[in-house]
Amino acid sequence: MPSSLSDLTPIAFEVLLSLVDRPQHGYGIKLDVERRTVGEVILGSGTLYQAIHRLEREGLIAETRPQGRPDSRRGRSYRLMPAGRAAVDAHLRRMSRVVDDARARRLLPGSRSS
Amino acid sequence: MDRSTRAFRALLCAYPPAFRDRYRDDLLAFFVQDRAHPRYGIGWRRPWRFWAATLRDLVVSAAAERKRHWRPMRSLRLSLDVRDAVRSLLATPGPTTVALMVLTLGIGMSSAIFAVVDNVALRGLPFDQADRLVSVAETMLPSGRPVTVAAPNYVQWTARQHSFEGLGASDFFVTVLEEGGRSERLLAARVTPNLFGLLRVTPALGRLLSPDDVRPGAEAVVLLSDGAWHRRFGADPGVIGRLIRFESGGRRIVGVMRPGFAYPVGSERISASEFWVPRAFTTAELGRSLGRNYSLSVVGRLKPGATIDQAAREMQQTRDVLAAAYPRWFVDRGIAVRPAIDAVVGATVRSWMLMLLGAVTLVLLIACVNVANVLLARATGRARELGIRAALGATRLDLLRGVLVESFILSAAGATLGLGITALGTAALRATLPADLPRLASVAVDGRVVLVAVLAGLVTGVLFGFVPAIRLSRPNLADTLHASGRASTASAPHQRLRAMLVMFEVSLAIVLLVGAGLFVSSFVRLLDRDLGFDPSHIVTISATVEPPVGVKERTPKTYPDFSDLVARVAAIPGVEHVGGIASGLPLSGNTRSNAFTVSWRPEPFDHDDAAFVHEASHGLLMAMRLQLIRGRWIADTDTPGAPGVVVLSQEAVRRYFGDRDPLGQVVQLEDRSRTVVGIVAGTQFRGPEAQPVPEAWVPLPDARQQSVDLVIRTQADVATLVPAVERAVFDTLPGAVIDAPVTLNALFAEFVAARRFNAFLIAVFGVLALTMVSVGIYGVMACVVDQQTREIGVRMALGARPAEVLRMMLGRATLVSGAGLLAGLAGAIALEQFIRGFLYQPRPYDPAVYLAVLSLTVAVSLIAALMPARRAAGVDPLVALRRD
Repeated sequence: MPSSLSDLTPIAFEVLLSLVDRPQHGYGIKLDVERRTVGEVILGSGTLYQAIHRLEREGLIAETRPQGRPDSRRGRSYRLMPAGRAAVDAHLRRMSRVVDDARARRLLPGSRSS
Repeated sequence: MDRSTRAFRALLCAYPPAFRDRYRDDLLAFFVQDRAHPRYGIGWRRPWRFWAATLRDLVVSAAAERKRHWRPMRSLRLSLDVRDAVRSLLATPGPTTVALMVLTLGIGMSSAIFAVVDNVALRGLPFDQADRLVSVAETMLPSGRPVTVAAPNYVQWTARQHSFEGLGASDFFVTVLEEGGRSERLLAARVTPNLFGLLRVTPALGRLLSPDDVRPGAEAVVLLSDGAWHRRFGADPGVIGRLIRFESGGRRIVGVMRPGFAYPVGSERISASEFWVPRAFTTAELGRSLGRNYSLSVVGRLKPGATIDQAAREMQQTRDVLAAAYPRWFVDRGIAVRPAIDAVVGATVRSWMLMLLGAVTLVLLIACVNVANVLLARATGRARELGIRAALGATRLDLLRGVLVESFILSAAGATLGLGITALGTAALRATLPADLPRLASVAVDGRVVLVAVLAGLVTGVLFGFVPAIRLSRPNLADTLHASGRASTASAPHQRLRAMLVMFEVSLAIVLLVGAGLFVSSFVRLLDRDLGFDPSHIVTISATVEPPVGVKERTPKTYPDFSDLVARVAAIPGVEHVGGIASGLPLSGNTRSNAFTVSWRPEPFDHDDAAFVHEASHGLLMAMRLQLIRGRWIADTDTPGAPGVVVLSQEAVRRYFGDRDPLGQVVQLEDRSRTVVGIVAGTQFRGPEAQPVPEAWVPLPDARQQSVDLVIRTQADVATLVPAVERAVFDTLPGAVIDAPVTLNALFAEFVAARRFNAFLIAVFGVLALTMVSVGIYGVMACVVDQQTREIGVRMALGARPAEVLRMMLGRATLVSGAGLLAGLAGAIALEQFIRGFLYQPRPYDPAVYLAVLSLTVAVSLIAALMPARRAAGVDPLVALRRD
């Protein structure tokens, strides 16, 4: 587990978010990230597997073997580990605090005082 | 697995082994799926976009992964490699020096040419979103050549257009600056107040011009260039608000532009403006009742979303509407809308520049091949060393790396030294290229040029390094070690490879040489062109009688009489002949044409058929060595009081009279009846490449001109002659102004400057190519001789005579260069199609050029082969057999 939350890079965070609901294989993660960020984050193969490599080492995600052998056409699938879930929660809490703060100071574009 | 997936799998070696092994299948699966992603678009661009994205990702992530796995020992190994390579290069100083010299020259020259080509032709305009800037020009019909714009047209375009954020216009005016007690004549630019805003430039100090500056009664203002601010005002920040005096009155400085800003963008002459003043239009200028005056260059910025095609359609419609309303203004004028950069860098200049770049690339390629060859020759000597290394357990990768590091060190050194050549070459090119080339003055070795030099070094390193590297990294252990004592033997495929490299080199050199031959021969033809007059030994001096100060319009106009002056100059010792001409000097670019009316045709000859009028004195015929065909030339008795006369050129006779006899005919020219009294051969007044035009010579006293050009034929030194001529001018025309003397040969040189440059530069390339080829052939033959010493020894022991050995060796050299010759010929024939457009009166497949190039190449290759061949013929059988 990362020692501090700032260790989560934006890409790593997006990868974790993609795995919150269900396990996915590599390209599925890429498409999911692309859809959620409206094309703002486009992951190449190297960048994605670099992030996966690191998240695996830190125990935030792990390989799954759904029903037997891995699909050779799609590559391995990954699922979120409890530590990963905790990291996502912590990161989200921090982001929400930042957003609240920004909204209170009316820094956010389009924000209205409520 | 298809080809591109295999390619991608090969590229995965960029990742560290651990990462690669773990994720190879996943990365490949990702690759295959991603190929179907819609974001890469459709059509032929799709694979490019896909691969660009994939490679970018690969490079970035591989670099990051590698960095994570960085081990200091690794870098130590690399530095060991470097040390080894430097040592090994120094151990063979001969080949290393040759390779380094060739690389330095190749990289240096190509970067120098790139510096020029990039700055002149490739770079965009130095303004924000310059690709949205559009030039709108009027065109001459029917040729469609873009020309400047008339003021009323500009104003009405502005009012009617919807495609541009605005249209701005500029022109030049000559003014006299009266600053610090001195008067200085200079060229300044007038710009409409909106222009600099459209360019999106900001001033360094003060403000830009505003529409208020051209309101009636507004104070006269001026913007300074950064250069003028430094030179004339010592970069004083308090200069804003100061008044500077021009001959036309005071102007208040409102702003200083930033360093590097120049407008209009173009050749040194037109970019030199130090001042910009607001361009206001007078009612008279905007009226359409008077003469047509074209002076404006118009630039617009496209509105967001508007395309240049839309703008072109709109402007064409506007032109047609205006043409219907004011037909007189548009009988011979169309409209052209094109990117602003195209107006600065014409298509001719651009393709010329690209041709130069292509030629120098060929030189660089030959240099690569040459260095590859030299390295291969070196490698032969190292085969044993590498064999031993391999036997001791070095992997193929280790050997490959060692050899590649050597070539990269060579090319890095070549690029570094080459940058010195680039700096020298750029300065030389700037000085020799014709000064009217746009943006030539700002050519410099900058970041882009250095980058290109570095890239050229890297690419050449790969190109010439890989062939020997791959060959060497696969040493045949058994063979090399078995060959025990024999020092330097090259395997047969090894030699074949070198022979092929030389063939390739020869063929590239042929292409360059044929190109050089075509340029040089076309240049010689240009110089040989009969101008219709003889420009050598002619000095010209112009004398102008300025009207008295303050008298702008004199009524009735009187004009000075130059006949006394001409007579006085004719009497100066050393003057062989002198003539006066009042309509502009030949080759000076000044000409005047006018309608010509003959009795047998109701309408006058005009426009393309208008007569070019020259006013000349009696002596001009002899001074310029014009050729009188029939009748008589202008006489001293042809005074304004006498009946009007005209002498026509043959071209004029052909066009105006056809088969009729012109002599004695009465014609109308410039509101006067004249009798045709003589016919002369035509002259190339507008330069050797101009089309022949109809010319009409009339007596000098008829000239309604303030100035005359004295055309003096003399063998004497110009410096001694000029003071006497000046005295004659001041004696006969008090208060006259004299311009510096110019020789017609100097004017002619300016005309042919571009072609002279091409011929010279390409010839230099050709000579370099030939030199490198001879080095290559020498190297290969020397190696052949060295390797076959034993064989030759055996032959000679068996009774072969030295002459036979010599013939055999030369035969081999001929074979190698002969094969290159054929390939080169094919290449040259293909190339000729490209460069024909750059040639003056091209002769297709000029046999003289091709033959000369072929025989030159054969001769050079034989000479290069001669030395090794003689060594072979001189082999002592005893020594040879005892060797090894």
